[in-house]
Amino acid sequence: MKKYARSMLRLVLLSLFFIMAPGHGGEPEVTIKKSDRCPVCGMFVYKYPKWVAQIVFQDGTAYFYDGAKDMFKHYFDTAKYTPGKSAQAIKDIYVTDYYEVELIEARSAFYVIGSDVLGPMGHELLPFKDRESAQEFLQDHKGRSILRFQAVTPALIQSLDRRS
Amino acid sequence: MILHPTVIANLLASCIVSFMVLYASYYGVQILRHWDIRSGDELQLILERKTYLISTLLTFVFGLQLLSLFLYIFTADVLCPLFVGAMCAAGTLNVNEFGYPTLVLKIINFILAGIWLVLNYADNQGYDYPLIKIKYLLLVFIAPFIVLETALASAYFLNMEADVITSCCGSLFSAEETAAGLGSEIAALPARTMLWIFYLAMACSLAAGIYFYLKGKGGYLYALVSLLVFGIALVSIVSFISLYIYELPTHHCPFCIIMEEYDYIGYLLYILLFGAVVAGIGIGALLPFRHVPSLQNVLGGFIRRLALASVVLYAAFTALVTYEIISSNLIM
Amino acid sequence: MIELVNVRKVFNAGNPSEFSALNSVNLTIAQNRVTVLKGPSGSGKTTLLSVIGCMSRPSAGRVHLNGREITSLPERFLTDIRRKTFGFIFQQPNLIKGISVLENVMLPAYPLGEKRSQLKKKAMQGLADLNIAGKSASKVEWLSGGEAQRASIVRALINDPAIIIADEPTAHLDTTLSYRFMEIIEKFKAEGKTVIITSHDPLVYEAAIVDRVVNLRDGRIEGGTA
Repeated sequence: MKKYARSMLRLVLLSLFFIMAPGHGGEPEVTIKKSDRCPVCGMFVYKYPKWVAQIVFQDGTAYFYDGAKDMFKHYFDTAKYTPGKSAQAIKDIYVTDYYEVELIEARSAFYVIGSDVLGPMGHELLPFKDRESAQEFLQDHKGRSILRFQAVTPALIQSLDRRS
Repeated sequence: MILHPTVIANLLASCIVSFMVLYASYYGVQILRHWDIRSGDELQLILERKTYLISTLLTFVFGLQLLSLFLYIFTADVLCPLFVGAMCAAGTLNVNEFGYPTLVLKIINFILAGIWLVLNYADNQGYDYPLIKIKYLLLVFIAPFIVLETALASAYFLNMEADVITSCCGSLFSAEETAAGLGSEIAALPARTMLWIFYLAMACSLAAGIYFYLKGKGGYLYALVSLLVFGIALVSIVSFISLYIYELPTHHCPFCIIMEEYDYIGYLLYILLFGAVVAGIGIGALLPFRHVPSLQNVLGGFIRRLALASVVLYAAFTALVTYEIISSNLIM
Repeated sequence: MIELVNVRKVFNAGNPSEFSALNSVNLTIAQNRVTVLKGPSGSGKTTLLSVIGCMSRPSAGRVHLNGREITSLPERFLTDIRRKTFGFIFQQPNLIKGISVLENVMLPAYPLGEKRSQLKKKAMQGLADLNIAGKSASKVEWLSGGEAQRASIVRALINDPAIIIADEPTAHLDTTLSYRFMEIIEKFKAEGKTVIITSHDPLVYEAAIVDRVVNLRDGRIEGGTA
């Protein structure tokens, strides 16, 4: 009986795994048009596919950015770059994992700052989907620290805008 | 140095222009000292032959100078992918401290070269070289500016380092209170107010130009007004015209408009603007000579054509700007 | 009236082979007269003729045409005057091969932009005056020496110039044709034109219609100024 229950449990778990695996949480539709520009700096996003970040609002409008830094700038002062919109109306935020080069959830990502890898906007926050890859990157590229989404502040973003 | 064809073209053009201008200035000084149309002696005849050759060469050289302004911003635009943080010419020019000064000097030399070409054309219409001394005096005046520009351009291109992080035009032309620099100050001007100032200034300029074209009075006034309007138009591009072209309320950069993605409209805007100001100032440069006997029959007509050209170019500029504002998705 | 003041022409100036073709030439050519420039080879006749006819500029000195100083004129003004004022007749007819006689004759008038039909009429009239209208459509290679010379005279007249310049015009003509040529010159004088000829042919400089003979030797005018 116990043996039957255990194999039944395994079967259920296995089938659950197979059912749930393909749809891991809202894969975003990423069709970047040639005319899409980052609302913060005006850069054409299609030129930098490895750095794309995205904010989707509840009304369905979406904006692309040429790096996590500009995404954060828009996030911290939404009305400045898109008058009439506020951060409360944001539905999803995505960033591109630096190693995997695919869009991941921004709010659960790990960001490395202070590294020697520069994005299109200069010093950047490099996003990773888990702490291990972030740590590996930090060691390889002399990163200074790993931050979660909530730890990023406007002052930090400003400090990244230095020239050297 | 970055061995890109555009960089080589820039340096080559600058060197050719500098060399020719200095060579011509040497003869210019001789002409200023010894020219006497009535004497028949050997030096005078040699100078007469020489000026024919030199004026022709200088026409091509100053024509090259006019083109080199646009070549320069084209080069800065083309090189921007090489520099981190640069997304357009604005960032490339900021790579070292010589980029923007070179641009300023190129703008000044465009106008000076244009005025020289206008004077030269007028001089060639007279049978006794009526403006020859003025022409070569202006040349000698222009020469140090040309040489300085070549020096700055060389310093800029030869000191270009690929491993610097340059400022993005977003921050160079940002309207933030914390941002410093002329670009930011212009960007911070209230857009609505600038829009009214622009249209008012253009209306005054067109009125003055048309009045001069029809009545022949107020030429000096129009020359002055056309220079002022030129400055106002440049400020307007940064202040509000760029916003409508980009459809972004915070992007004031005057260099992104030359990019392919905006249909190269920046080049057209700048060509119209620079052409108009040279024609306008040219009027002021020629008016003092309208009573010279050998030019009596031709100068009046030429000055009127310059006035018409200036008015038409400014009008076309205004029309293009208006079209961009009306067809833009941006609502301010 | 043409006035030369202190004209000097030097070739290859500054080189060891510097050669002074004309030296302090002071000369006045009277209007509506036939003037002959006479002198041995190398005396500077042709050089003097080309300076008078605005074909070359002197190295020093001035040339005045009807009171107007022409040596300092920029090229575009000078060519305009040359085209309208002078007609040139050379030693060789210098007709252009490959085009017809009529085309050759009309050539100097093209830059003036006259209507082609009118120009053609004028050219045909000129050819008729010298009895070679029948050859107007012929290729120049088929003309005899005399006919070619006459064609070149018509060409020289196409812009109705006030001054005719002829450089050794009888050098390749026989006696009969030379006399015929001088008759044509007489006609020019009767029409009010000024004629300047260089020649060392006695048939030319001893002719009755010649008003003045200027003797040149080694780039100077013999007998002082005139």
